Amino acid sequence: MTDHISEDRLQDLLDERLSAAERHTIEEHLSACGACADRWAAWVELRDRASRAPRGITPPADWWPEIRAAIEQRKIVPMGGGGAGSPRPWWTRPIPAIAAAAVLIVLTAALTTWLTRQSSPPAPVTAGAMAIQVTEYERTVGTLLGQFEAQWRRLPPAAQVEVARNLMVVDSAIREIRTVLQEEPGNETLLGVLLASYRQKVALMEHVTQAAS
Amino acid sequence: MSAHVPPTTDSPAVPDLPEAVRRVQRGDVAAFEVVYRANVDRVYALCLRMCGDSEAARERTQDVFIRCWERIGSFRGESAFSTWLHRVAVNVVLEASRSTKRRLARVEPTADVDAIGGRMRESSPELRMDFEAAVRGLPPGARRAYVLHEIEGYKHHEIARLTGTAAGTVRAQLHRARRLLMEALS
Amino acid sequence: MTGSLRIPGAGGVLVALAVGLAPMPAAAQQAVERGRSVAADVSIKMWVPAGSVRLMGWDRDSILVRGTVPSTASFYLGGTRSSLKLDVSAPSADSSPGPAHLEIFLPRGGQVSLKTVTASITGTDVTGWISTVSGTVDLRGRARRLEVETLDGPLTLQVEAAWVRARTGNGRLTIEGRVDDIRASTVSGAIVIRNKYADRALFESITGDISYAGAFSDRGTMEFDSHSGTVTLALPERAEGHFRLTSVAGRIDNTLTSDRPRATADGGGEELVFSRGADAARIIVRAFKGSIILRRM
Repeated sequence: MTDHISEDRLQDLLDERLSAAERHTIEEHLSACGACADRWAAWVELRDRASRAPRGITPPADWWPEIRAAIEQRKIVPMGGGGAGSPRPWWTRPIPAIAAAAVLIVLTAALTTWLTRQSSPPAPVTAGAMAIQVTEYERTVGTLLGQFEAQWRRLPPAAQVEVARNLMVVDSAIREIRTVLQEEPGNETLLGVLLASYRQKVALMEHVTQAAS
Repeated sequence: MSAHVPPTTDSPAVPDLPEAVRRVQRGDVAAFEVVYRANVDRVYALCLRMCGDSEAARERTQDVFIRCWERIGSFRGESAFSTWLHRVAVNVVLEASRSTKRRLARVEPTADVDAIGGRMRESSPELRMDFEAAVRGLPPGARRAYVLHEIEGYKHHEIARLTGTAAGTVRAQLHRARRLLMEALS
Repeated sequence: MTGSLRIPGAGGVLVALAVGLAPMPAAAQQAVERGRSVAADVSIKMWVPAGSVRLMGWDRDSILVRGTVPSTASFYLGGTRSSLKLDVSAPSADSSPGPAHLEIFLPRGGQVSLKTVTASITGTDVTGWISTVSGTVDLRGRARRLEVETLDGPLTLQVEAAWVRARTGNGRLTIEGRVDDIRASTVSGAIVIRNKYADRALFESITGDISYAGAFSDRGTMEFDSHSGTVTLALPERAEGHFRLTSVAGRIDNTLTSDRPRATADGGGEELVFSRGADAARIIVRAFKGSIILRRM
């Protein structure tokens, strides 16, 4: 090799991406060319500098309180002895209740549609229809809240924690999708995933409601 | 059965990290503080180097631990916990960068800073000495490739899969990062 | 969440067994063995809060319950030939009965409704509804319809069934065999499906990965919804249908066909839409942040 080694080739050598023959050729050149050898040394030094970079960097502040607060927002808070002023569980939503019978009809219809699905593929669901279903799910959640809360208290402690963790994951997902939907209200993919999340939430609440009774 | 509040800071001291992880999986917040303190330096280092910005690194670090809390139930011990958490951190940072890219694309003309030859911040005597600052000054794509490869030890094809780019693009980004660092540090 | 259950009639051999209908006294022995003749399509409702329950379908027109219950618990088995109730209760509403360990043999044509809080459940050739909070579930054999839900424990089904609904929270959900109409969901547990053939399927998880390997009917509908887990479809090489895969912020990797995904309108995600063959089947994958992998079995 009479020309100097290109920068890319030196980097490929650094990354061990060359064949044995190519590597041998370059190493022979490096032993004879001072300029290339200096450049190679500089690349090696840069690589070594990266390998000496500390694995950890101490943050400028202790963020545990903020992280804990974020987690606590999703945690269950004690109901106390039922005294006035006891904090309510995080899942409490001030959703106006509607007639339970109407909600049950909507929910039953939604479930029945799935349970008794016909053999032919269902017609595509529009974004508008999905949005309506989302509203109905929110109402259903509101209707289930009281009974769910009461039954949750009857579960074993470990199960209470599991329920809370599961609901936290589901609610976090719902919040995240709804945030993005503000920018993309007609996104059918997002609406589909959101509906799936609501199905999970309602199923989970119903499971708890039945489990402890 | 009376209401029960998951244990908080009144829990007895947790002896080691694997035990802390097990307790966290049962909802023990005090144990999660142990997990946090044992891993935050490593997570912050990754976030700071990948984001190039301390404020973004703060947000991402917190996001990582919140995601860890949410998903720790799925950690089954097939790998070391630190390895699992590291993967979570990489995913959080990369997802955030994709989201930022989408947001920016709506308000600015589409322009890939890397594609048009993004520059380092102007070299200064301090920058020439500060490797970390030099890394943070790299253009986003080059910085991600460099940090994941040179510092975190990922292979080209692994970075390609994580970032959704071709392996050749990763190689090009890595080479450019090194060239820019060489200029900044020389 | 229950669906209607059709119970076909079936014949069988009547086995004469000791019959016990009265509740067991609280201070009685720990062992329990009860049996009675029942209709082949008997419906059995069970409440066993803790311990273990093993359900075995058999070809007899009778039910046999044996095992142990805590000496302080109340055990009840009663009802008619068509409708039975089995109950393990604490002496007072404020206490837990403790673990019971029961084996229950029942006609294959029967159906169960089993509710528990922490009991582990295993079974073979059982049809019905099973609900537990943190117990594990492992069912095998043939079933007409199964609806199984647990909050935390792993859930494993190795069955041939016409209809299955399965749900768990953090636990791993595994279904192997052949299920025509299947729905499986988790919050953060992984979903692993190895299904010979499906007509209708819906899989959803918030953060768990979903993995499906198997065939589907040429007029089937397969839907996958994932918030942040990875969805992997391993299909027969010549799988036909209309495919619509979208990820709002993730990537799509297709090695089943030569079709390539394209970026979504906002550039943050990818979508892949193509048809193959008769295209009457529909394969729909919706992901928010997770990736989608489509490959050959």
